[in-house]
Amino acid sequence: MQDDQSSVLQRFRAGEMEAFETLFRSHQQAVYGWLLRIVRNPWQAEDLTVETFWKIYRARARFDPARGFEAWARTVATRAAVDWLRTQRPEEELPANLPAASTGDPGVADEIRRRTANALARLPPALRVAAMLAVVEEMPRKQIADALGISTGAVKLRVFRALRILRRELEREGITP
Amino acid sequence: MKEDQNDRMQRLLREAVAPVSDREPQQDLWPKMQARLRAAETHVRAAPPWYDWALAAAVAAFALFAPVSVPVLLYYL
Repeated sequence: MQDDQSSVLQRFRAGEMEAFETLFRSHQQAVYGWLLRIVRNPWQAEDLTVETFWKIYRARARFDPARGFEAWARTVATRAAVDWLRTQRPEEELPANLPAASTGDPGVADEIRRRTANALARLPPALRVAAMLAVVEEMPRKQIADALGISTGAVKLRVFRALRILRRELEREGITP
Repeated sequence: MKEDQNDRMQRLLREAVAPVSDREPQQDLWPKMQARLRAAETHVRAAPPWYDWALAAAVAAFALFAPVSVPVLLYYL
């Protein structure tokens, strides 16, 4: 099994299309899921999955098998997602086609939730991605750090800064979190 | 920001934005991937033909041997 995987990776590095298809089919769901967690829009996540694999295919010669394909794919996907978020208008709200929290504390009004989600959507992409993955999705800090190409300490710092900005934004709107 | 403020903000954020459960793409993305690869191939094929490069080389050589012609060339560009 390990040999099969290693052989596929070697053939992919050599530019063999069949090996690329094998990798695409075995990793597309993971890449799509990761992208969906960041962009929160199923159609955009699909487009970015294709874009990610296109970048992976172009950069195949630089692939380091020691790092593992999945981690590399996550890094490329995260970069593509952050680039896409940078092209979006900062005032744009989070896509509404994903369900809102259904098991929420009834004490927290819908309006506060909506304003919090909108404030999150207005954060700079680098902070927004860190907060989204670490706080909302509760992904391991190490995985987030690898995907963003930064240290785990830097992830913690970005999350802290994101939360501080969110808090200030909400306070400006008269909400005390 | 204090630790308890930080915790409250995290809780509020989790209340406001639901985590995404593992989902599959709504369609097989391989055909889209193939289309992307084909489009890139076409783009490569659409690179300038050899005679464009030859013309550019001729203009560059002309400019090198007759530098006074450069302003005239730039004027007509």
